[in-house]
Amino acid sequence: MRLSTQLLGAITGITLLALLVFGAVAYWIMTEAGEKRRAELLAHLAGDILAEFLARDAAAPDSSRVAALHRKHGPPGSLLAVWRGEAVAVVADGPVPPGLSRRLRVLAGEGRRRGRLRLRGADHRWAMAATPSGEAGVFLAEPRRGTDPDAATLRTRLLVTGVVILWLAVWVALILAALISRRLEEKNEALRHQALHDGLTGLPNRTLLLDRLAQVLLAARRRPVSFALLLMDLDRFKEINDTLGHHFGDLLLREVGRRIQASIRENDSLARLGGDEFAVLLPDTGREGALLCATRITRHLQRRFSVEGLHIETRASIGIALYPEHGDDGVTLLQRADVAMYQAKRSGNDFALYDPGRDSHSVRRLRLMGELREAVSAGQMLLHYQPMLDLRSGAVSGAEVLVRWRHPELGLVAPGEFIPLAEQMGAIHPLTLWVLETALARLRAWRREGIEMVLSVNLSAHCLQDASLPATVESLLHRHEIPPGALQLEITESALMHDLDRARDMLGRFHTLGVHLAIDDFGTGFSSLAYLRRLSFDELKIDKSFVRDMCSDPNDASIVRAVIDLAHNLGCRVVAEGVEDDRTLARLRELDCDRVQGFYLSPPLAADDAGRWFRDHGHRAADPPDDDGGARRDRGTDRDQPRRS
Amino acid sequence: MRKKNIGRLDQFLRMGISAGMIYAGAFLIEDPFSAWFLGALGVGNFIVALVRYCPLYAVTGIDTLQERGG
Repeated sequence: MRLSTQLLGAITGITLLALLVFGAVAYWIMTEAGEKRRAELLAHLAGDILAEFLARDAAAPDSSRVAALHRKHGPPGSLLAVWRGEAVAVVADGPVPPGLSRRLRVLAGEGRRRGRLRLRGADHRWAMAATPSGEAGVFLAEPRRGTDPDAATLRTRLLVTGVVILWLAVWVALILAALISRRLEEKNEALRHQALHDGLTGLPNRTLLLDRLAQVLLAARRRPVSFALLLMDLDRFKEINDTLGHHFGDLLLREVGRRIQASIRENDSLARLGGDEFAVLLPDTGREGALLCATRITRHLQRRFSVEGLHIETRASIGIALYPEHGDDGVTLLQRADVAMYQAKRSGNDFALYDPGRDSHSVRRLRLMGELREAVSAGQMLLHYQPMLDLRSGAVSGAEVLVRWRHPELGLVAPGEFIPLAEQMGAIHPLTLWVLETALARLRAWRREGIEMVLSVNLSAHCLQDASLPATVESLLHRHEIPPGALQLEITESALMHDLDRARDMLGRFHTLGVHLAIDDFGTGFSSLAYLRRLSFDELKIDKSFVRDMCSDPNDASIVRAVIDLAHNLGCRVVAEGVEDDRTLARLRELDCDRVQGFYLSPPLAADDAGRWFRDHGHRAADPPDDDGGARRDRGTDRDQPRRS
Repeated sequence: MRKKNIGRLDQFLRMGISAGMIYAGAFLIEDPFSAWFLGALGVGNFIVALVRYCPLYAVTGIDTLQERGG
């Protein structure tokens, strides 16, 4: 409204100014023209009077005669003076000003024939006609004001036109101001909408969510309420985007937005924070309400999506933060909802409430993420080696290479903690290269000492995306003069199934190279046996979760047996991971398992200790291996925790 | 009848102005053209004020009735 008022004022002001200037100029021009016409008329009349006087009167002018002439020719209000020689007769409508004769002589002496002068306190125009000798003459004067009837009409019309134009100008200004301000308002509204909403889904964006959060927080300051903030992302969105294209991903996001919207109340607000991340603000909602809402959203998202004729199943992880329990400002709540979301993801649940007990974890996580990239170049990464034993020969067959991060302040960081971070950050490739490089260098050193073994290196699912990896591995092997058969690459079953075609292609290339291949954590993914048959791998590693309890749980025992049979039928070796006692070892031997690995044998060892271990156990039949007691002591401790040796 | 869009104050202002215009057209101005012109505008404006609906307001979206609360 301010803008339109300014516009109104400006247009009206300019019009008023223009009107005044033009009106004044017009009036001045018109009156000048009238003046000139009037003066000519006056001169003409004076000439007529002189001619008549000269024609009729030869003697000095007398008053009655002049009065007759004045009546006949003089305009109203005029003054007529006629002279011959020294005699002057003056006639006027009204009193004759004194001393006029003298002024007449002065005027006549100046030789001018028309002009203006003040008579009786008013402006007059005058004209003079005289004989060539100047002996006789006529002076005629009339007041300037009110004698021109056209001027009065002109004034009225100018005034009326001026008023009307001003009036119109105000109207035009009003219309213009209203139109412009409305257009501007619409533009502004569109811009505001654009700034506060997500272009793809049309949902509010992070800024608007934070704003609404701030409003709810303000309201909460006045009266005690509770509300909940839900943060969610889709679990396999990146994969969907990569494989089916961004267009498809966009359509899916839209549909996801619609579904979440459909599963929340009207005064809840849904926002898209970017990527596949959505947030829902639930005002006046406590713990139960938030959990209920999360359940509802989960249920809605679990239904199959149908996008462009393709059926997609996806799953969201939802993190829930409650006000005032988990934080009393927007940033904290968002961050804690984020932490809760990762907790949900890690635990494999659909949703999770923020758990303050695990919060140090998230701070730690952020810190690790920040420092991970530098860690490799700063030499903070190190490799541990966990020996593998061949049950048939009783010899050490090799070792699995495990990466550890010795953080200068946090101590040893488990791979289970930083490998997913590295994968998320895209730092997994340099890390993998470093691991390969270091492991091969170490292997070369051991080989020089006469320790012959196969080193097994884990590849992340992300490494399978790197088409140049086989060539890199080949050149590394070549550089370190290691035969390809001394290197084994382990890929987890879930990584294989993640992108099967690519995995098969990669495995084929590694196989051609002569590198051994193993499927890690077998039994935890959902392998299609049909595909498994077509993959060229040499070794199958049974997940430790089955091995650990196989002596107490008959189901696990059956699974282990089945896997061993399956592997042998497929023509590859079986390694049982997580062997922790001699009973299990004996049972595995019974089941014809090829190799074992686990704490009973040896925990993962630092390079020097591993070297010593290999030298000690190198080519010796290794029945109960542990006489140094390390392994037994380790039993029952958290196997994810790395240990110093 | 369409919806009114002229508020009370607006109406009084318009009535005053148009009354002045009509008066000037009828009695003050001798020039017939000016008198008729002013008078006609005054009458038109007066009618608009009387029915409290201004077409130009409708076009521009101005509403003095809503703003001033009638």
